[in-house]
Amino acid sequence: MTRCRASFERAAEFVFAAAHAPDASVNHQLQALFGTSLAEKAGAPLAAARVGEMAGELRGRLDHAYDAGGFDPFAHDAKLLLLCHGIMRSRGAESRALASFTRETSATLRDVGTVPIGLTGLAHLLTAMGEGPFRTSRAGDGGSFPSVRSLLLAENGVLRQLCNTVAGATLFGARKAPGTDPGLLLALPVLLLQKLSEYDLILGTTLLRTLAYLDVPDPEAVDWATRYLESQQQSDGRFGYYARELAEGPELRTVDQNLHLPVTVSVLWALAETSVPGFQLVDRV
Amino acid sequence: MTSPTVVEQVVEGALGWTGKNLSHFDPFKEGELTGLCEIPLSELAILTLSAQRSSWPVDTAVITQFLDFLENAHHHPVYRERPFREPETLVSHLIVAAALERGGRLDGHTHRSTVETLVEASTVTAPALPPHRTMELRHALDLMGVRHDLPSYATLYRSTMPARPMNPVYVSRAEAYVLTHVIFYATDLGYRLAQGVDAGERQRLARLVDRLLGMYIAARDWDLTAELILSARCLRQPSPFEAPGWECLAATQRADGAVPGLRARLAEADAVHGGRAATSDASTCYHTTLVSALAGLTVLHGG
Repeated sequence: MTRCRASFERAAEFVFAAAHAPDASVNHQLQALFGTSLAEKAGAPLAAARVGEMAGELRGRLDHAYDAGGFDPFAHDAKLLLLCHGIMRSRGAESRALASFTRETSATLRDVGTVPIGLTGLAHLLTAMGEGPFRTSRAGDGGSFPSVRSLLLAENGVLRQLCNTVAGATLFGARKAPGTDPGLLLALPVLLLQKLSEYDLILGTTLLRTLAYLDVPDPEAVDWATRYLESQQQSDGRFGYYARELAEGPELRTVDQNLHLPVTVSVLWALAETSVPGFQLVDRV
Repeated sequence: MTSPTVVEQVVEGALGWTGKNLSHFDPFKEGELTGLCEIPLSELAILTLSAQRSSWPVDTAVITQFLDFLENAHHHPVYRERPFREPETLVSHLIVAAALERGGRLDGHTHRSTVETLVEASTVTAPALPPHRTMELRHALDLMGVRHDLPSYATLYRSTMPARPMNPVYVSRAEAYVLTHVIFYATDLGYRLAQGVDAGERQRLARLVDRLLGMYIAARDWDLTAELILSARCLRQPSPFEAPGWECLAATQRADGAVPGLRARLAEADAVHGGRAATSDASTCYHTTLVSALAGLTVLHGG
């Protein structure tokens, strides 16, 4: 556990530094706030001070844009905005921009009557933040599960969508899964291992979290995946070795922000979910 | 649950394609015998042996056709003398001889005697090979009943890579082939219980094979998909990924019976993008087709 904490601490330091580069955008800072908050929840003590510092800075930046009419919430992931709103509020650094987005989203979901399946996760998250209740679809309304073969051969976009649906339906593991297909339990661990072996660390770690949310009883696959991920952390805390891709692709000036930051936050999140006993992103519902 | 009809369809198609493309297995197709030119012929011999041993009734005309081809190559003096001048080619020759002897096309007694003299006099069994290659040599010598002083399967197995804990995320394609081949040699391609591998170890290997099978289906690597289905059967631990694996092999199989693998896909991509000169269709398809037939024969043999 001490080794894990040290790893989270280093990852948080990298994330914090990446968010303070001159080129860092609001989106980078939102990701970084979320990442340092994950590290704090995972037991990295030094990360707590970073979270407070970032929350204050981000409030200033968001509200300045909001007051000038330049804040576009649709340019960001809605769940990330809500999660950051919760983090900032808990630090006494509530942002008017995010508070307004939260209210408007809640009002919209109330107006639609029954929340569509694709927005169930958002509704659960808002409920956990005290904005509910909303009328959500019943479990199983999403139709039948695909076969093992089609899951194994699914395109990455389909897998990402599947993981999003699970994260939403379980509120990142805080709610019990509404029912799990045996084929899904069979396919998910090998898809996790395969995506990691393809060096798709973001999809691999998203699948790892999905296994955790569904309580897939496969400690061996989780252990292989976490050991692999731990071996991909560089000395400055970032996760992933991408010199090959960077050498082959166009020159990327903001590689820390656009590549290593999202990868590091994604790996940190998955490792926290699987390695830290009792870790819960959102309070259990 | 794997459908026998799907497996039979893949096997019959693959055997038919192999019969129509025997010239690809000819060790003399490039002229002189050099390098690893006998390998396709020895792989044809492995398929022939499996067809001879499987309890599933393979058309005798197919076996006869394969044996005729093997016999024709074996009767060529340049081919026959090669292991005596270059003993490192012995494994391929032993497998061809084993298939011919089983088919009543070779006097095994005389052949064994000359090979035993070679084994005693040469360094062929000296500990110079990687452990999995030594297992391969032992398997080939045992197939022909040739006396040797190689260590037991248990001793050899303990030195191989699969005897160590393996994280599937780190397993490269080359390492996956080492794993499947170690299993093939220990189990005589599924026709005996694994030698030198205890029950607990078989379970561990089966779990690893199971994960890798799912992973290679996801990677659309049909060659390793077939190899790993065969490995699971060799370990007598059918995998839950076997049925989707067969569905994929059947869906990939062409109307002429070929099962194009990764090499065929890469060659096709090269041709489309005007890259390297097009490789022959048979050379890119033969291995996946052959190993699909081998896996199917083992499945059908097991019932």
